[in-house]
Amino acid sequence: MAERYRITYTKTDALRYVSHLDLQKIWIRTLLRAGIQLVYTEGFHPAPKISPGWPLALGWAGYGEMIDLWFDISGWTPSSAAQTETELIERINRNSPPGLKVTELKQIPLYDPALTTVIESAVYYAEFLSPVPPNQLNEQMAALLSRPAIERKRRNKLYDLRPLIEDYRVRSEAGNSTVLEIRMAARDSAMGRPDEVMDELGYDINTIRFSRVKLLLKQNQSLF
Amino acid sequence: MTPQEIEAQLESFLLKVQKPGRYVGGEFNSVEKDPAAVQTRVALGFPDIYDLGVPNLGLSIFYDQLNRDETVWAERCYLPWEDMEAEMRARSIPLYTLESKTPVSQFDILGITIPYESLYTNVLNLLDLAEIPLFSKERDERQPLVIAGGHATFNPEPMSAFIDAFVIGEGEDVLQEIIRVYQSWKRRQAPRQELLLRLSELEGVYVPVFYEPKYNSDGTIAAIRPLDAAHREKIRKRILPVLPPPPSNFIVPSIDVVQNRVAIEIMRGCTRGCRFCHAGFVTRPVRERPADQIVDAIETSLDGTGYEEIALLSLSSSDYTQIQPLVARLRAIYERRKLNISLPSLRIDTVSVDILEQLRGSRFSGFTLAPEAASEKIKRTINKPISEEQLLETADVIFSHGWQTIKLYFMIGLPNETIEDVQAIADICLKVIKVGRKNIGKRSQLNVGISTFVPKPHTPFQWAKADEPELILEKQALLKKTLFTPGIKINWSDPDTTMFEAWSSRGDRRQSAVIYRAWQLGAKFDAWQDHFNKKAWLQAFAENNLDPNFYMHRERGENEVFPWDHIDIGVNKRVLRAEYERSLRGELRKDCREGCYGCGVNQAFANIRAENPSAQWFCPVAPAVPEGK
Repeated sequence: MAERYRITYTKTDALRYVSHLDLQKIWIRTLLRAGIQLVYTEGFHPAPKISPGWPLALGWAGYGEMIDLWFDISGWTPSSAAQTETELIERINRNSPPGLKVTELKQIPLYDPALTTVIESAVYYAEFLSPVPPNQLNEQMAALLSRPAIERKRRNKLYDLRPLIEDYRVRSEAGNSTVLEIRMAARDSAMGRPDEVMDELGYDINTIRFSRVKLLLKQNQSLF
Repeated sequence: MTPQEIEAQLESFLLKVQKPGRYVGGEFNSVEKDPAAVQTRVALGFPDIYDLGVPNLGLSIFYDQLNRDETVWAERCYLPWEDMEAEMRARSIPLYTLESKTPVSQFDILGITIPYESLYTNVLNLLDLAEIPLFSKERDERQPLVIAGGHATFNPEPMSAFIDAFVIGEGEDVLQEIIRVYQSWKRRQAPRQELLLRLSELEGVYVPVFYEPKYNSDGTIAAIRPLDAAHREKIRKRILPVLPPPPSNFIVPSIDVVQNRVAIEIMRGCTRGCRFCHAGFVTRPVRERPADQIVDAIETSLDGTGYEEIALLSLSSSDYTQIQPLVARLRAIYERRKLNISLPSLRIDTVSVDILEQLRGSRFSGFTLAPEAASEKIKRTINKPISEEQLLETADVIFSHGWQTIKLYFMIGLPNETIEDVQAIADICLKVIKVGRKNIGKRSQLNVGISTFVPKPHTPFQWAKADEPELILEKQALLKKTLFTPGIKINWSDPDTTMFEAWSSRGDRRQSAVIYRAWQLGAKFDAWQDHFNKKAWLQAFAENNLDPNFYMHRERGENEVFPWDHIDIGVNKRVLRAEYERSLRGELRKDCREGCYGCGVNQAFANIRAENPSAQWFCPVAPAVPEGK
């Protein structure tokens, strides 16, 4: 019998250079190695049922990525849900390549809406590899957000970057590089990218290390 | 550069190159060890890009095997694609291994596989990117020992200037011996020459610096002799009396590569004796793996990799004696695991269709059959007699069972071939598609692959000349015109690529200079059709006063000494010559399971066979008297 799990995981190290599509293959192989029975789609070419969250840009580390997976664990010896979840995490992490690590796993109702419809926004870190004074960055961000609109082009289409920026915070601890924490919209029609913010401020994005640390979901996920 | 410096550099530019996942390692099942805890570090190199190198079965076997040895850490390196190469050269980043990002030049041993000739310039490029001097004689104790093996090295001479030691034949045992010799040499801190000397004493290891060719005035070889009596006259290939269990720890790449599957060799060698087939001669004798071992290996490998496809490899799957029971057992596995099964090299008969019928429901992709020849004459020339009725009957069974696509492989440019023989290929293709139309109408599809014959060393055709390019073009034109019809798709090999293969595969030691010059002039990735740099190669030949036609289009004399005659594959040159003459007379030779004709392999390895009474080689124990003096 099918059960659906919502999983939070990391995508770091060498896996940063793996595309969204290749990552789905990695998930399937990891689960097959872990001996977790997958649920397959109907049809002539059945494929494992998986439903990932929004793609992460190539080269960026992810510390709070999400994916929904359907398992058939009816053959498992009955135990408490908590035990099952611990066992699943343990098995997956034992069989995943370096950089892919499950940090959270919980069962969700089978017919809950897809991840991509419940993700609202995402939190990114932009770490400056060359020195940038925190006050300078703070001032630039404040000036940027005071503009009523930030018109930019993405794939030759005009869009307004301003409403995609939801919040930010500049962090700088002694001896460490300056980091901008920024929350951006992550919805189907409104996908904010932190590299575009940095570009708008005039920084060379090749000197900044980006990572996505968290995906924020709508508070009330269930349809009912 | 240190590994840390290399990693830091990579992060700064990797996103600029295509498929950066090729260059970062971190795959499941890749092996990490503590460098301080091992004695010997080996870099296994594939001289083409990651996508082609990862699925290579030979390197997978050695990677698995070497890393089981706790004194050894084997890592991998592949050639970067051009965009990455440019970035690396611009930043002076040397070729590094994927596991630890250590420069390859810091390794003890660099082992390169050369499965085909078109990788020669890539091997040079690999050494150059690794900042290792290209020529063996320019290297000293500070550089890695560079060894090579693989099917192309059954004629090691063209690459002899660049490789310190070649492994001739099957590497599983001899690689262990090389490691031991290396470790003892390193402990003694002896000079490099001594290492080469010790290696040359190993059965199956060829150290070219100890051999010297002498030439006749017409450019042919008078003799290839060892420099002194301390070295063997001939280097006999290594074989394993019994195939060991297949590897189970395959690396699972994180990105898509050309073959994403578990590959299990079910049998080595072939008894069919097709006269053009290099593999068929150099891999004798036939040795099978027990079906139980294959099934176990499949289950273990699937569990360990998560792959959803398996390939059963051999030169002639239908000849594997346990093929029926094996397929029956596979059926149970694939139903449970939703597998894709690939079973290449099936004979053209209805038994093969029965076998595949059993795999129906697995995601079996299509039928590939290789009649190679269509006319009666050429079938006899190449010793592959598959009757037209047999082929059409097989096609009928395939189409009538509902399969829609058949792929047929043919070869042109064979000895004695006329335009009528080529016309016969077109005729049979039209008959096959007609069978398809009759069964399933317009859904039937025939894909025809037309390759061009290249005479290979160690085969009966080693005396033959390669066909003239004009004739090849004419023959290809005829096929393209005649088979330009709905339902048939035709693929052919590029005449330039064929030409390259023809001069390389039978090259001699003088070609090292040509390869070096062609590489300097920019030749690399010669196997990639749009990359083959004909101009560079022709210039390289001219500058070295060599004529490619001497290697390609010259029929060799009966007693000519070949550049590879000192490499002994166990099959008698006399027997090969007799086979060549039978071929010209149109005489067939039976499958040697039906009677030994004394090719020599059985005698050559009589001692190891005697030591392994359980080894079943499908050679009669008492061989017949060799014929064809």
